[in-house]
Amino acid sequence: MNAEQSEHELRQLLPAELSQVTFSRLQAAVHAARSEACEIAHAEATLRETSAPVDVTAAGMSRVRATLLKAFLRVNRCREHRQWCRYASAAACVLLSAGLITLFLTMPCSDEVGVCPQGEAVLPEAYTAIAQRRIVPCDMPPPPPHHHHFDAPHHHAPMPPFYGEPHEDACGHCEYNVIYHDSILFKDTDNTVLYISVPNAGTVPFEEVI
Amino acid sequence: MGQEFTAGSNAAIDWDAWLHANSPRLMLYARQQTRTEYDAEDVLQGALVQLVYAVELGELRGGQEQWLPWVVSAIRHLATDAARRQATRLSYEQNADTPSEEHNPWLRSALDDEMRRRHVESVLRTLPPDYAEVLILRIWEELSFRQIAEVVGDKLHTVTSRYRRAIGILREKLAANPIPE
Repeated sequence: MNAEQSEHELRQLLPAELSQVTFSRLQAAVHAARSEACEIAHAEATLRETSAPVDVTAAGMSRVRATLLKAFLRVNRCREHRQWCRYASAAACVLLSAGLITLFLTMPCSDEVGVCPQGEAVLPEAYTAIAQRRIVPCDMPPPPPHHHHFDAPHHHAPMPPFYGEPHEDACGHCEYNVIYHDSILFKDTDNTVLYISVPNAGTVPFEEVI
Repeated sequence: MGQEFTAGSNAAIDWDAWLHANSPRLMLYARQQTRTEYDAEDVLQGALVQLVYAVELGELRGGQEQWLPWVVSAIRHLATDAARRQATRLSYEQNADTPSEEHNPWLRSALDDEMRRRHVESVLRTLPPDYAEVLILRIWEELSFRQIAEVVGDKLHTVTSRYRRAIGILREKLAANPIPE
């Protein structure tokens, strides 16, 4: 028997069939992965679309902000913190570069928010922003429920559910934008406070925020 | 096995049909790369999830013809990782049952010749793993030698000579121990 005959012999045999249980398991995994990947791809496309130049009109700025927040809400549903982390950083960079926010504070528990010490989840732009102190890892506890800065008249948006114990020292950060364990709070250039929730804290309806 | 996926940007992709056509042979390779049927399933599932992400996020260049070698590479990497993790559970492994051909067959006979299938498969399982790997990638995954070289990380001529030797060993063993009539 020569090599070709041997090959022919082997080709007469086929891979063993998968059981229905195994096939269904693989099918379900592919289905779930596809749904998640589609959400991420959509958010990514949205972020790309909204990397607008800074000199946009007020209406344009509003659109950019709205689209970005929609993207945020979308990736918010992603179970992969790593992906969320990546796009949170990306969106923060776009917000910063568009002048919509002046500072992005993050908690150091980096698997949940924008700054990841391992680096794999952070876009290069985020490092630049960190170096320029525009993204600031912040280990301050969240502000108390009735913190005076959040009672100010220009804060028209509903306040997010607060997390943790009151901490008076947090007031220095309230002038900017605060991100903490269960919510992200943005204050844009019009002094409108915007927030979205982060994984495991439920989703704040976008319409309520805007 | 016919669930149609509707979500996503690549709506034209029939994942179900692709899975149906390719999962048995990918499972064959996963079995060859792992110790147990459960490990093989886990590794294959992980590789498929990686493929979905790569396709949907546009990170995989080329068309569907690239999917198979891509998944094969992913299976190999994941199996290596799994083996590394298992090495830390040596005591468990020593007590574990060795997966048998009877319980977890790699192959089936197109001609319903069960005796012949078992005979060939038993010889295939005695080959050195890197020889069996090249044979499986060539015969059942239908990869080119160049693609196999990329998957296993060896030079092209190394892969081709390994394949020739594997076929030779297989031939000798089958000749010395003919298929029972």
